[in-house]
Amino acid sequence: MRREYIAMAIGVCCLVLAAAVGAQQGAEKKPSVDNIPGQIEQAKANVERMHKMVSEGFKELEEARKAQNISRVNCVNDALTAMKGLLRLAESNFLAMQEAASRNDAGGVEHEYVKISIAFNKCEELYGQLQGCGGPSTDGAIDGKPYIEKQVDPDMPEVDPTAELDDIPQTLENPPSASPFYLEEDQNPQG
Amino acid sequence: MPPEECDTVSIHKRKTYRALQLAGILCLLPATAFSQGAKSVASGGGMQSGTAQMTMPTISKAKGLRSGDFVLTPAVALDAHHDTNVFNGNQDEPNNEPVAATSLRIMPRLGLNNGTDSEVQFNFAAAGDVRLYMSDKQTVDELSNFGGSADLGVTFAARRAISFTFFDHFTRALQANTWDTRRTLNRFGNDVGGRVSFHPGEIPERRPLEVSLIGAYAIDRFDDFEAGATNTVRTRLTSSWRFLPKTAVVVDASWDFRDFVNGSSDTHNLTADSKPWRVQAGLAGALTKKLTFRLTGGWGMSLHDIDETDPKYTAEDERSFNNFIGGAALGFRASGSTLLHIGYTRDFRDSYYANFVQFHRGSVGLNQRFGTMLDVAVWFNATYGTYGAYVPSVGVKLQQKNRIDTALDGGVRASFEVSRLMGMDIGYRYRGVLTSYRVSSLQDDIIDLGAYSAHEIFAGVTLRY
Repeated sequence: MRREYIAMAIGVCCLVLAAAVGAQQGAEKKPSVDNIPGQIEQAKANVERMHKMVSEGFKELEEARKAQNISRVNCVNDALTAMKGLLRLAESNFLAMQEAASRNDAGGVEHEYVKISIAFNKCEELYGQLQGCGGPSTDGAIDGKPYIEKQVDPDMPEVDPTAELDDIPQTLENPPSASPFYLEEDQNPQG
Repeated sequence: MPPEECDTVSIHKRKTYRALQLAGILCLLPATAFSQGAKSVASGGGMQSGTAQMTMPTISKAKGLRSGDFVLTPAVALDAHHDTNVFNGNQDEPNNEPVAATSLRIMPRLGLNNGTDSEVQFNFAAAGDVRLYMSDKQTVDELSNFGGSADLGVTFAARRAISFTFFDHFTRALQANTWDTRRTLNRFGNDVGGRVSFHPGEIPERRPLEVSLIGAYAIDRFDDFEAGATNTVRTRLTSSWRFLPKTAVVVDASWDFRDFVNGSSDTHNLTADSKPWRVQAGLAGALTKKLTFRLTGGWGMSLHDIDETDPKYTAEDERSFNNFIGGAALGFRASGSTLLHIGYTRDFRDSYYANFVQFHRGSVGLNQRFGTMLDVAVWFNATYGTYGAYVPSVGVKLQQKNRIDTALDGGVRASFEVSRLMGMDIGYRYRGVLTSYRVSSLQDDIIDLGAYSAHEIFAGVTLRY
C-alpha cells in the first residue's frame, strides 16, 4: 500500500506539473476543436497500450515466482505497482477527456490528453525497467547455473598429465603358469 | 590404449567409471575378449604403468538418455570369442596340452552420471559378462559363468577447494586356471574407500595444484582357491602441480597392507603377507603440441613377511623387493587421426609365486582412425620379469631358483561405427610366455612348464543408446 501511495503521489505531481505546463502553453496558443477526435483516438490507444504492459508485467511476476527468484519478484513488483497506479489515473483522465469532448471543450480535452500522454510515457519507462529485472545488470546476480564454455586450442594434445592419480586401481593378480603352490593342496595338479 | 587397461583380469582399472563412459565403447567390449589372459608378469598399478598416451575423442555417436543433469547410457554387446589355449598349456606338458575353446559372451552395460558441473558428482557404471562355452569337454564347459563389474563414485563439494569422494569397485572376474582342471580362478574382488582432495583456486578448470589422500579396504576371494584369499588396506597420497596447462610435476606414494585370510607362506606353499610401498616423482604431459611424455623415478619395497631363519635360503637370496622403480614414455600425434606411443616401465608387484616379480616392460602402440567410422588399434608389450627366490618344500625340482619369464602380449583391434545405435568389433590377440622354467619330479619327469603361447580371435556387435 505504501508503494502505491508513493507511486500515486509521483503520478499526481507529474500530472499537476504537466497541467501547469499545459496551462502556460494554453495561454500562448488556443486549442482547436478539430484536434479533439485525433486526441481522443491517440489517448485511447495509449490507455490500451498501458493495459497491455500491465498484463505482461503480471506474466513476468508469475514467472519470477515460479523460478523462486526473490530479487526478481521484488523488482517486478515495484515497477508493476507504479504502473497500476498510472493506469488508474490514465483511465480516469480518459473518462474526463471524453466528458470534455462531449461538451466540445477543446481545452479540457487537451488538458486530459497531456496528462494521459505523460502517464503513458512513465508507464513505458517502468515497463522497460520491469523487463530488465533479474538480468545481468541486477547487482551482477546470475540466475540458474552458470554455463562454462572452455575454449581449447585444437592443436593442444588430448593428454591429462594427472591421469591415474585420483584413484586406487583395483589389482587382482593371477597366479603365473606352472605355479607349484597347488602341489600341497592337490597332489595331482594335472587333474 | 594399452591392453592392460582392456584386460578385466589384470584389472588395471583407473577411473573405471569414466573409462566406461568415454572409452568403454571403444575399449571395454572387445576388452572382454582379452580377458582370458593369465599373464605371468602382470602390469603394475597406478602411475607405474608409465604411459604418455594421447587420446582421440570417442568415435561413438551414442548419446544416452538424459534426464535433468543425469545421463543414462545403456548398451549390450554380443561377442564370439575363440582361444587356442584357454588353460595356458604346453605341447610338452603331460596332461596339459593346449585346449582350444569357443565361447559366446553377452555383456550388458549401464552407465549413469551427472557430468562435471555439479557440486555433487555421481558416477555409476556396471557391466555384465556372461560367458557360454561351447565344448563337450567338461573342464571347458565349467568355465561358463557370469561375471562383471560395478563401480560407484560420489564426490561431494566437487568444485570447491576441498572435496570428498566415496567409491566402490566391485568385480566378479572370470579366469580359467593355468592347467586343465575344473577348478577355476574365478573370484570376487571389492575395493571400498574414500578420497580427500585439496585443490585450491577460484576456477576448478584452472587449478594448478592438487593433493589427494586415498584410502581403501580391498577383499579378494576365489571360488576354488581359498588359500589365495586376501584382505588389503590400501593407501595412496598423490600430488600434482600443473606449471603449464598440459604439463605437470607429479608425486605418487602408496602403501598397502596385505594379509592372507587363511594363513600365509609355507603352510600353503604360497607367498607371504606383505606391506609394499612405492614413492615416485616426475614430470608428465605435453612437450610440444605433437609430443607428450612421462618420466618418473622412485623407490619401492615389497616388505614381505619372510622367515629370515629359513634354512632353504641364503642371505643373498632376494625374497623381498627393495630397489629402484620408474618409467619413461613418449606419445606422438602424427596427425589428427594417428597416435603412436612407446613406453618403458621398471616396477615390481606382489606374486603368488615367490613373493614378488620385478620387471622391465617395453610397449609400443598405434591408434589409427579412418574417417568417422573406423578405429584401429595395434599394440605390443614385452615384459621381462624376474621372480624372487623360491625353493619348494615338496618333492619337486625347479629349473631356476629365481624364475625368469618374458611375457609377450600383442594384438590388433578394429572398431566399426555402423550407426549411432550399433558398433562392431573384430580383433586378434597373441599372448604367451617365453621361459625355460619348469617343475620336475625328483626323477626329472616334467610336471609343469611355464612357457605357453595362445592366440585369440573375437568379433562382436554392440547395441547402445
